[in-house]
Amino acid sequence: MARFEPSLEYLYEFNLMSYLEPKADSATVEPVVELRDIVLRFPGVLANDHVNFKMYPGEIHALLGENGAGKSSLMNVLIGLYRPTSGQIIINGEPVSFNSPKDAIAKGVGMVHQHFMLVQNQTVTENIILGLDQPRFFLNLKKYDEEVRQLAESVGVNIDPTAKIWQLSVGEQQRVEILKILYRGAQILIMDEPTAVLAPQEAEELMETLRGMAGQGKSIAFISHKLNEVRAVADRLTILRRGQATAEGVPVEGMSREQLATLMVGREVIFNQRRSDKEPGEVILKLENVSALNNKNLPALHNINLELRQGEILGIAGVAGNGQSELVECVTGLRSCQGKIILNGENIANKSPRFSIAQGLSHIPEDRIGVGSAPNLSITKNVIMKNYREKPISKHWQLDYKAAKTHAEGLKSSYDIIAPNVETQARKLSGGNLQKLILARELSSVPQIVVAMQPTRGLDVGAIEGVQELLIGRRDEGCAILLVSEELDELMRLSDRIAVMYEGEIVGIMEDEDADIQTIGLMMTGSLRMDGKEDLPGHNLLQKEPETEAPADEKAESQPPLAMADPIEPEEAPLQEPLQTFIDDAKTAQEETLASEDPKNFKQEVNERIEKFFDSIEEQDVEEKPAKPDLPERPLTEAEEKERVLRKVLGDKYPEDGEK
Amino acid sequence: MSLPKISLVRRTEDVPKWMPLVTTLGAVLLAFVIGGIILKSIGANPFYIYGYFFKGAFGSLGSFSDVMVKASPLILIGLGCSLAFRMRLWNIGAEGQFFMGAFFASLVPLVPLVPMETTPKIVVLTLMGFLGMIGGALYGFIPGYLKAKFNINEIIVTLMLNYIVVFWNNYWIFGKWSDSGFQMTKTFPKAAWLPRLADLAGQYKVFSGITLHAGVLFGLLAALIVHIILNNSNWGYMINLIGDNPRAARYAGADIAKNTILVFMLSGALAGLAGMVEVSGVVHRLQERISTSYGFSGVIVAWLAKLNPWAVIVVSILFGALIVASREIQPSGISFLLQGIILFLVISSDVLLKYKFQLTRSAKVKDEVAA
Amino acid sequence: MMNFSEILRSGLSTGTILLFAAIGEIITERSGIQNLGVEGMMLFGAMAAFKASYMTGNVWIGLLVAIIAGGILSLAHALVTIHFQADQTVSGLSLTFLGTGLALVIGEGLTGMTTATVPNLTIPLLSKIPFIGQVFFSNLNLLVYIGYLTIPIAWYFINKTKPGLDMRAVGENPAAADTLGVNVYATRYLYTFVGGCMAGLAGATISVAVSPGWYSHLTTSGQGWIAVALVIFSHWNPTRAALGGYLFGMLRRFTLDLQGPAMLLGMRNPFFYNHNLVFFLQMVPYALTIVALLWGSSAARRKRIGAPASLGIPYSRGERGV
Repeated sequence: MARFEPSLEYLYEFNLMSYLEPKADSATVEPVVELRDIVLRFPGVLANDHVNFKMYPGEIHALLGENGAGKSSLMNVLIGLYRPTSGQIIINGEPVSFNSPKDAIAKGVGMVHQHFMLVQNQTVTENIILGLDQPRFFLNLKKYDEEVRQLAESVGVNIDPTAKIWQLSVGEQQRVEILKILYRGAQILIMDEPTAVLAPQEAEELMETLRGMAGQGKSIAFISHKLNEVRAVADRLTILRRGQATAEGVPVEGMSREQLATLMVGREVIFNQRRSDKEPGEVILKLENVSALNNKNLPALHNINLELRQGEILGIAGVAGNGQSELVECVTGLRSCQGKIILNGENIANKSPRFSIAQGLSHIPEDRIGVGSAPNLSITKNVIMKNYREKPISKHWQLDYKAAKTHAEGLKSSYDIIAPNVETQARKLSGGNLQKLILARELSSVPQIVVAMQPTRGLDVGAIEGVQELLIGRRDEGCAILLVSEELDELMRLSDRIAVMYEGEIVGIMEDEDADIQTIGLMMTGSLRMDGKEDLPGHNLLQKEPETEAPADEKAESQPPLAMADPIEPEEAPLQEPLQTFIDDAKTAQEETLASEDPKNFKQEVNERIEKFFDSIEEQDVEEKPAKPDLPERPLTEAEEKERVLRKVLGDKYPEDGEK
Repeated sequence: MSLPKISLVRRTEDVPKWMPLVTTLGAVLLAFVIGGIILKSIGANPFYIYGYFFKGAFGSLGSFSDVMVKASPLILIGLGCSLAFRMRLWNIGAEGQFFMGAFFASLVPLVPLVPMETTPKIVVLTLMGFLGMIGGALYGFIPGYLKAKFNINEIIVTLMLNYIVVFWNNYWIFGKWSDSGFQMTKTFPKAAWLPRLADLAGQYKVFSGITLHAGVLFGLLAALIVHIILNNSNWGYMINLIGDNPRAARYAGADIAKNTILVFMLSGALAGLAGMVEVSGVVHRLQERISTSYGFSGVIVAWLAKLNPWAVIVVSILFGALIVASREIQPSGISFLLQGIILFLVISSDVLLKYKFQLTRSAKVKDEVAA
Repeated sequence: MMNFSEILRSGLSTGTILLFAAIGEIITERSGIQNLGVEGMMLFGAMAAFKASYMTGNVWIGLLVAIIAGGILSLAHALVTIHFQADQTVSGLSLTFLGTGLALVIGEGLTGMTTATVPNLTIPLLSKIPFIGQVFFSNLNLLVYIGYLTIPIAWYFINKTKPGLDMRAVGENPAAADTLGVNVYATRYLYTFVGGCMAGLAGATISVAVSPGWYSHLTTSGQGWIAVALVIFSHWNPTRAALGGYLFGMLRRFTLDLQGPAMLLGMRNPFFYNHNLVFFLQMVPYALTIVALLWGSSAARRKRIGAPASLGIPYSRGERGV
């Protein structure tokens, strides 16, 4: 019988966490993976300090920690990418030593990296069979396409084996990564921050797949720094802080969000709202019908209209690659576009970056190393990037390095950039310090408007707070801030308004008080639009490669954006139907409200329908419950729990006559 | 049972200031050793050849002056290449720009653009230098423009232009300006000659037969100017910024296309001036063979000097010596061979600046230790 | 008067030189290594082939020595760029110097000598096909036929075999290939070596087959660089590179033929009457290379075909990502 997996928030609300997954019991089941006393040392960094890690069959084990806590390093040890300085790796009771990921995969251990390791120009199948010993020389791709198709079906994943990687969405690429590992017979999967690149609904879909695979007896290590997600999906967790484990294999159940945060960060973390209490001022930046192409000369932005006011933070939400980068580049003069971008009454569209800099526009770029800094130049030369033509640093044609150095030293101390001196090369700075350097440069010039893209990505919690405080500080001084982020939490916390982008269009703008994650999530995946337009977005854009073979195109077109394959029983996909109905309903509602021309009503209507939708799921859920005999109404006794786990793990081989 | 493995570990700390110099010198020395081994293996006597090199280059005032004569165009070309390489523009076309500069400079006495008998020498020479730079700059404009507007690989373009200019010059040398059918133009009038030390032989005996000409001063002056551009000007800052990270430079408001063209033209102008120096200071006519691959050697000079204008002067003198000495030595390819090996070893030696070599014991040994 | 089929045949012969060099470079670049030293390797190969067959009297030994010579030289580039992570452009340039220097030093005194050459062949049945048989299959150098075979083999290898797949992956995304157990370093060494071997063969094609003899540095006269340009122009596709090579070969012959007749298209042939104008004809192949690049690049932009994504970027494993 199919079962429905409701949203994470929903589960929490009704305290249904135990409904999710089996618990492994170390007393009876042998661990499939054991990392014993791992020490990993890099020059100048102790990445792992005597960490122990155990994983049991059929469990999802979360590795929680801040960025740089050593989660990925520990897992890279497990897959043979790094060699531990000391410590032991034991797989299925047998000590092993991996020289490369190939050795690890031979023992059934595979990893999906945060940055996908895919060859963009090759097909799904080609990527999957890459590096294998079979075929030896001649390549019969058709045969392997079929194998991949079957494998994908067996885990309930929907993918076209002949599509080239660059034609796939991020979620689909992630599925290819998973298939790549499964094809090699992996029983142990490591997922490195798998949801970082996904929209909430896509993330849930991934969770489904992972739970399904755990149900098949596979073990999954789940690296994350998101507390909600870990609490929703994992059975047990290990928490790392600065290379040391602060929790080793603790059951997730019963851990509160605050407890986890404390273990992870070492202090209380405040989750509070930081919207402005002042009324926003004049419109300072106005985009009128801005359209642009991306680097592949495909349409990336379509008729964007936006207004940004003084003293407000306008958040741009969206799944990566839906035109946010192009939008930022158009505004900052790095990309040519059609339409008007009016800053202080002047059209800056298609003007050089130098022009917009002179107009008081600061830009905190997404790519700190590739765009935001010159890695081999000193801190001094990096902080004068934007003002080197101005006095006192420049006198006519001459550049006064003494003045530049003084300037740099001032910024270094006021923004607390940690480095030996200002002559240090930028590439030697840590991620957080490099971002401080960029912020120092961009914010110290007292800008009128700041365009910040992913300003906190990859930073640890302390640094994130610092960056956010700086942005808020500028906002309170009346500066207008365009904040593009993929972290919805961050957007919800900082923004005064949130605009959602999907397929190169703004599909809705919400005042902060109206915004809720669920609605934004639906808009981010193109299932809902709230800007009064009829079509779901994306139809105006020729998004896919024209030269693409038809199947890939058709697939992309025909697949409803939210269609999810149920990994457990793929033939019945209960989630699809209600959601599709909901989307249809939402559209009807939209049409109705449009007719009545009352947008406020429309919002209420949508909210009501969202509630109704989840109510109906709840009912459905309750109806289905009897079909799941092992669903606990009371906490399981130890014996029952043990039995349940063993059943899960052993499947058919479980001795029914109760020998054990 | 396995051998210890050598692995490279990226340096996290700054290398000591002396280290680049030491590794470079070490590489040059090693290059001579390897070159010696190759020479030995083909039956030549490397000690004799190297001894001859040294004597032929620094043995007397006369020979040293010859070295400086060879070094003068190298300095100018090396400076031009350094400038372009700072911006990661691979101007391999200095050879062509050199020829084009020589051609443009030769227009003055050969057309003639000014009456040669009556115009003062200083005017003629200034005009020649100016035209030489224009010629080089124009020839540098082509790859710069193609790179800036169409992102065409500048290496290929500059190389093809190197071949084209040879035919272009030949057309004039063999056809229009041929000196009674010989493959050269007639000698320039004296007004178009750069002053030499030998001109002073009347007053100072020492200078008789010393060929060193004023071109070397152009080189020194150019080094000063390039140094100021790179280290003391807004423009130089931008060139360095573009060279290190063009995307960051664009983000900082730099016009990369414009600077690509400008730097290419300035690089070409310096090579063109070298061409003028060579025709006006040494051969005193336009002919097919005026360059012993100065253009290519200039590339190596720039790289060996680590794109530092003052170091370019020193390295140019070393290379000038190499060229002077190898003129009189068989087989003729030795100077090429040594240049190739030197460059190879110098870029290899850079690995020492970026990485440390570390011995790692093999996996098994380590596990035993761990256990 | 000019004879079209003669121009074609001549284009096939001289084009074979470019074909070998360009396809070799395509293979190298597809694995992510850019080796600009083709000119040096070719010259070294030409000298090695000539000297070896001159000394042994056996042209086959000459060919073999040339292939090995080119390969060995390329290993210097491989070592410096793959292990020492030096700049591939500079390394390629120094390889050009090194190859040229070695060729001139070792080839000292070979000028003006003659030696055994690769024989011409007529293919039995195929040469009977009217016109086509005459042009493509009769009395051409053996190496030309090998060139014919090289095109489909290279194409098939790159696109339809497992090692080809791994090679492309290494050129596109070495980290991905590495995690799946493809040995990135070994792959890059191997295909740099293969490219070197083919450059050596290209050199031998000059000195012991198509235009036998040793003319010091004039032997290759920049054809190595034209081959590099062809790689870009062909978008890393061996078939296009081969066609481009043949076209260039034809062009060379055509500019020669253009100087012959006194009358051209019913007009006085300027090249016949003013021999100095021939210098402009000689520029044409080089100028056309630039034009081809220009055309190739705009075509590439239209069709969005680019170089292998990791071309020219050193790969080092286990470094901590920033």
